[in-house]
Amino acid sequence: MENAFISQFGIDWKLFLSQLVNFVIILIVLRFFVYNPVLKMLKERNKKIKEGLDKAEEANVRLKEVDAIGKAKIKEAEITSVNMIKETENKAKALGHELQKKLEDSQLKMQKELQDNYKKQQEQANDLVMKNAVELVKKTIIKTVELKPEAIDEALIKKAAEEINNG
Amino acid sequence: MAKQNKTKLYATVLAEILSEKQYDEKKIVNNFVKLLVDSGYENKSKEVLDLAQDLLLQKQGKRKITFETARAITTSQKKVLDSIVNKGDVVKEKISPELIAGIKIIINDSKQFDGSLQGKLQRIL
Repeated sequence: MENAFISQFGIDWKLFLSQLVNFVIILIVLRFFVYNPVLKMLKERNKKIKEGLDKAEEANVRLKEVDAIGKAKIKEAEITSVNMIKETENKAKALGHELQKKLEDSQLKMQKELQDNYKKQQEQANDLVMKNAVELVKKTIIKTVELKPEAIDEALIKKAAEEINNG
Repeated sequence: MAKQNKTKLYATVLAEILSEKQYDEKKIVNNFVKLLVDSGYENKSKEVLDLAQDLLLQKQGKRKITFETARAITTSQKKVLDSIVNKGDVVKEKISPELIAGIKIIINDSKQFDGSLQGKLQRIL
């Protein structure tokens, strides 16, 4: 009954079996020569893709790190440059003060020198006037003496003798 | 320094000899000068003789007085100056026109009285 039923569907057991064996053989061959290598290839490809993604991720992380470092460096450079500018400004101010002080000192020194020179010249002029006056007085006295030298000599000698005799 | 001592020594010896008055002064001085020349000391002979004279005068209690004036001393001025000269004093006269007028009196080369017009002007001016 059962065979009859199968035969009604046109199934030939022998053919069916042989085809099944063929199918299994083909399945084994395909599995061994196609499926496994393709699966292996796909696995490797997946692995490579994963590696690439990992590396990309790592590169991204690195890039972020580099970016952060760069930003930090830029900030540091900004701070350094600001400090340098401030320092330079302070130095410039200090130099300015120093130059101002030197200039003032120099002016004071020059003023003192001028005053000293003026004083010295005044003293020299006074000395010269005094010297000339003394010379004039001397010349006048000499001229006076030359009018009556013997009389003046006698008077002075008399006075000298008196002073010596009186001790 | 040694030469100065030698000069003083010669002068002292000469003064000692002359002070004894037993010999002719002129002869002694002449012989002494000859001695100085022989000793190679002729260039200092004047110095020795001057010093000997000073020592001799000092020994005899007499003075050497130098009158330094601008012009030659006149007779009337000499009379005035005689009042300060003692008997036996050796008087020397020296003319120095730079004194202008008056007199500078030097006694025994050490004591000095400046009565010259130059000195007075120096003290005043």
